[in-house]
Parts: sequence; structure tokens; C-alpha cells
Amino acid sequence: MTRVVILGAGTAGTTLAHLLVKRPELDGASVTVVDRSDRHDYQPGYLFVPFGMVPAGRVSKDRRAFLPKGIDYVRGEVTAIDRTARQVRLASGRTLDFDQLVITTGTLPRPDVVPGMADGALWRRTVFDFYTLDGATALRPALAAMTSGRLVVHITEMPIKCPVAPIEFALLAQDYLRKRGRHPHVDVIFVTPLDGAFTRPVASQRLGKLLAERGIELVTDFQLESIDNEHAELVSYDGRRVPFDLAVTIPPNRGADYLLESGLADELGFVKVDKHTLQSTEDPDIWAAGDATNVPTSKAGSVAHFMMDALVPNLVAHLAGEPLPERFDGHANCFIESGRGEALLLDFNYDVEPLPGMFPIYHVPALRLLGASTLNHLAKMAFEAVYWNLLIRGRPLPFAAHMSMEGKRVPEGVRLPAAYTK
Amino acid sequence: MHTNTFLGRPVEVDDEGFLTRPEQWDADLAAELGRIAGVDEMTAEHWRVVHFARSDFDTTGEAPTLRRMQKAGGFDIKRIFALFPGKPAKKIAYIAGRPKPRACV
Amino acid sequence: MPIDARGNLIPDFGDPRPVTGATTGDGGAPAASAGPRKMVFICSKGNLDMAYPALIMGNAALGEGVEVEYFFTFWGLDIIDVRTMDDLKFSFGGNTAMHMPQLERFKGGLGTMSMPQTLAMMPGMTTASTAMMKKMMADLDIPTVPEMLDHLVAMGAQMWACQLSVEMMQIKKANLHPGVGAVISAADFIEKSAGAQIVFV
Repeated sequence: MTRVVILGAGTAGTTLAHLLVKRPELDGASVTVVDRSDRHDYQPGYLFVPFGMVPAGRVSKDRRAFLPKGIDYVRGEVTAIDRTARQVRLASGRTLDFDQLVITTGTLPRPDVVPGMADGALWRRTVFDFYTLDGATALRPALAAMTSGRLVVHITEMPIKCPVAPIEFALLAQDYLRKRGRHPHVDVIFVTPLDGAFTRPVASQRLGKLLAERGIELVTDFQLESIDNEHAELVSYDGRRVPFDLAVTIPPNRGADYLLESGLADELGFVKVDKHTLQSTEDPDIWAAGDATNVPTSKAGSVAHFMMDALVPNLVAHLAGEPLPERFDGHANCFIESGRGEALLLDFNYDVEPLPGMFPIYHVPALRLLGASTLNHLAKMAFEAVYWNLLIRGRPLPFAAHMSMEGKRVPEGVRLPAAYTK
Repeated sequence: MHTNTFLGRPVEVDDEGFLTRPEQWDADLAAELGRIAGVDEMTAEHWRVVHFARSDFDTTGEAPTLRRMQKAGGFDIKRIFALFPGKPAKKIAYIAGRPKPRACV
Repeated sequence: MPIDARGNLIPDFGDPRPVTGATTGDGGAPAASAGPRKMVFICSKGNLDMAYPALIMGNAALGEGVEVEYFFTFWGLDIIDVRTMDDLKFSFGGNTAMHMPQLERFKGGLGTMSMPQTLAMMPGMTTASTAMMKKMMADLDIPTVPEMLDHLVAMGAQMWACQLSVEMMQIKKANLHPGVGAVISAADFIEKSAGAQIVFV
């Protein structure tokens, strides 16, 4: 009997469990899913909690209700992967034997690795994160109380989960303050280690313009050394200081510690996989998907979803001793809430950066790419229901896993690989 | 109309001192004009700009403005100011043996 | 016009040092030009036809080796506000000199006849006259206002925004073109513009 063990029952792990139990090739195989908590959070919802747009209680649900029948769910903290013994060890002392192991443990915010962040006197008083439900919930009253001063939105280092969320936060915060008439008295400052508003050029330029239009100051190339709690300032390695009255920071995002020790991960704790097949580069019986991998695309729920179309057939083929048939292309799409009841949509992959145009659904140009529209905002809000009912249950969504050039406009000066030009 | 003497040979210029007879221009004269315009040594980078100005004049019939050098020639304006300090467009046209630029932008 | 020691006619390059024919080897005569000249433009109006003259003159000055600074105050802030800079308007209301050279071909003299002022109040007239002016500028290969600002900054123009106006209009520094160095007070501006030739638009 083949034993498949999935570490982590978040977006990628839950979807994968659903897809594996549906495969006839795996009849008779056992699928075990391990997670350390029984709560499954709709992580895109964190963004809305500080603004009171989504109640905190709606973001988190009981994980077990969303896992398929016919799998074993084990609640426990993983402490080690023993590759020689083909075993996963849990904190309780229990061990799980595996033939195939899939790592879908996502990323962990690590405010403890920056001096003056989690260990500072200002943590959760004027320095907040919103990448955890606790942080997002605690931020809500702090934001409501802010009537003047400097609101600094800050990314510590890349990569992070959902690289657009910090920009969304800045835009939503500006809009939140505008509606309350506080915008003349509060300055919103966006501080990033990148050289622009986003990782890829066309989107960076457009988002930079959007920030300028909303009066949000952009501070680039800022590599955080520490947070000075006495003066309430962010301090960079090159000695620049950004004072704040309220700081909303994205702590470093890292993979699980036991992954580092297993030799499967890079120095940040992200599992080293072939970026197309998603098979571990260290061990052919180990796989990874979602935020836990080191593939060079955004860490996002949509990516986890698109990865499944490569991971599941590849895993099944590998078990049958056949060559791996599918290739993941790095496809990501992200909605960016821009305030004023609008959102932008980005659609891109390893080779094609986010471009303007229209995103097709069933070949109908439906959603505006790289431009703000009300329909995008409605789609983003509707996605919460899609997530719980379709996406993590492994049901089909109305767009393909591979990125399509349909509807995209290529601006002057943008070069694309030959495969994408006609 | 006026006749200047450069490198021991007569060169015809207009009322402001710009060359009027293209056939009298050559690389040696350009280097001399460069010295007069304050460019002590014409480097390969200087020559690229000057050659662009000459060929652009042939296409458009006008000495290029700085904006045109940036747009059509792909040169960096700050760099051009560094290469030809002070009045770059005027100096480039002069060294290239072309009339003074007329356009405003 | 400078003449060198050999009687050669040399263009005025405005260099502070003497223009010398190196091959003449005799030191030459000093050029006619003086030291660095400085011009400051105060832009107080945000109409399209009030923005261009200052931008174009500043561009010409930079090309002539003149130091150029801009001070944007009151409605002039619209020229450097990213939300408005590409959307400046032109109206001939209050501008009795407005006439349309394009009309000359229909009747001699029509091209210099001033437009009736009441026409300017008609709905859509500001949009139409703005579009017309933009086209006329584009036909002359004059860049748009945002491009013009980029170009001026690349040429070395310095730009300042008026603090009082910025506060009055509830504008953030981040709303302004990245070439704007700082938001400064009127007193700072008076200090900065010492010795400059000042043009108020």
C-alpha cells in the first residue's frame, strides 16, 4: 500500500488532499494530512480585518470540515523529516511512515528575527503585523484611533507571502482615512526593500503612479536593520531612519525550521524543487507546493491552485514509474484592492510580467488587468466564497492553470520570450 | 558670411560662427572645433553623439535638440551635459559642422 | 560675437573660461560671456496656456547653460501634481485675444477675429479648446506637460513647491512630480532666488 503524507492543510494541502482521493490510480493508497492546528484561515481575509470590512470571526473556520472523506487527519507539530527511515516525526513522539511526502506548510511570519520587532516595547502597541489573525485583529482599534501622524507600511525582506498585500494595505488605509476626513493630517508612507512598488517593471511603474496619486510616499531600497523602539523609527543598514506613529510591518517570511535541518530547503527554509515539476531537487519521493517552495513566482493562493495541475499528474506518474508529464509555468494572479471600491488584477508567470489588458473568463474579456475597476473589487470579495466552496475542495475554476496571453496588451519596450509572441 | 582659418585652412561660417559648407568638415576639423567649444579631447562617447547629430541632420534637415537626442538617439541627457558642458545642443551642432539648432524643445 | 586672436568668428558658448584656438597657441581673447546666469520661474497658474510658456522658456534657458529653478505656488501646483499634470485645461473665457488661425482659410480676417466671450461658457467648450491646444502643441512636437517636467529635471532644473499652497490645497509631497525637491516656505524661496532673474507667470 502506497502511503502519501501531506504536511500542512492550508490552501495547497487541503486542495491536494481532495484531488488525490479523487484519483483512481491512488485507490488503495493511504493519504495522511498533518497540521498543527484545527483552524483553517482564509488568509486573504486578514487584509480586510483592520478596516472592519470583514469580521475576524468569518476568516477562521474548522479545518476538519474542509478535508475530504477517506483521508487520515493528524493534528500535531512536525519536528523532523527522517529521509533515511522515510518517516515524519511529530512532537508527540508519534512517527508517520511515507512513500511519497508532499510539503505544503506555507510560510511563517518571523517577527522574532528582527531586533526591536517582536521583542520591542512597541510591538502590538504601535508596531503591528497583519499577516496573522491576531495581528490584524489587534491593528483594528489602533487604526481607528489614529487621527494624525505618520502611518508607515513596511516590508522587511522579500520573498513574502502575497507580495501585493502591503500595497493593498497602504491604499486601503489611505482610503479609510480619507473617508473619515483624516487624510490631510495622516501621512501614509510605503517602505520597501525593492527599488520600486512591485517586483516586475510594468506593474511597478503603474503601482508607483497609483501610490503617488493617492499621496502615499514611496521609500525604496530600504533594508531594515532594526526597529528603534525608543524613538519609534525604522532603521536601515545604510543608516536611514523612517519615523512612525503607527507602523504596519511585514516581518520576514520563512519556511519551517525542521525543513532547514532536513537539507530539503534553501537558507530561508523554502523547499528546493524543480520549478516546473515541483519535485524536490534533493529527493525524488518528496514534493512541495504553495508558499513552501522556493520557485521564483509570487507566494499566493492562486499559485497553489495552479500548481496542482502539474503536481497531481506528476506525482501519480512518478508512482507508476513513468516520466513526469506536466510543467508548472509560474502562473499567478492577484487582485489588488486599491480603495474607493475598486481593485486591480495582475496575471503573470515566470516569463511574462503583469501586463495591462483584459482578463478573459470563458474567452469573454471580463476583468481589467493592471487597472482599477469596481468589477475587480466585486470579484475579489466574491472570491471568499469561491475559496471555501470550490478552490480548496479541488473543484474546477473558470480559468486555465497555464497563463494565457489572451486579452493582454504588450506595452512598447516590453520584450517577451518567443513562445508568447505571435 | 565670414571666413575663419582653422588648422591653416579657410573655413566658411555664418554670422554666428557655424559652418556653412558641409564639404569643408572632417574629423580633424571637428576635433579642433571641439577644442574651441571647450571639449579638450573628443572621446569615442563624444564621437557617438556627434555622429548621431550629423546623421539626424541629414534625415530631418535640423540640428537635433536635446530632447530629440534623448528620444531618437537614446542618449542620456545628464551624460550629454557632462560631455558637452554649458550649452550642449549648440556645442554638438557646432562640432558636427551643422547650423545652430532652431527648435525650442 | 566673440572673435579669437586670429580674427576667427566663434559662437558664444557662454563658458566662463576664455575660448582659445588651441592651435593658435597664443592664449586667444577672452569670450564675451559672463559667469553662470540663473533664472527662476514662479508658476502661479494651472491653465495649460500658463504652464507651457514657463516650461518652454526654462528648457531653452537650460540648453543655453543657464541655471533654472521653478517655484510652484497656488494653482501652479496643478502643473506638478501627478493627479492633474496631464489634465491641465485651456479656456478662452476672459482671454479676448483668443482667435483661431485655422479659420483664416474660410474667410480672410477670420483667423485673427477674437472669439465671442459668451461662447467660452458653452458646455464642452473648455474640453474642445483644450483638445485643440494640445493638438497644436503636439503638431509642433512639444511634449506633454509630464514629459516636459521629466525632461527639465533630466536637464538639471530644480523645482520647489510652496508650503502654504500645499497645505491650503491639502496636497501631499508624494502627490508631486518626483523632480520636486522639497516643499519650501516663501522666505526660503526668497533666499534661494538671490541674484536670479525672476519670471512670474
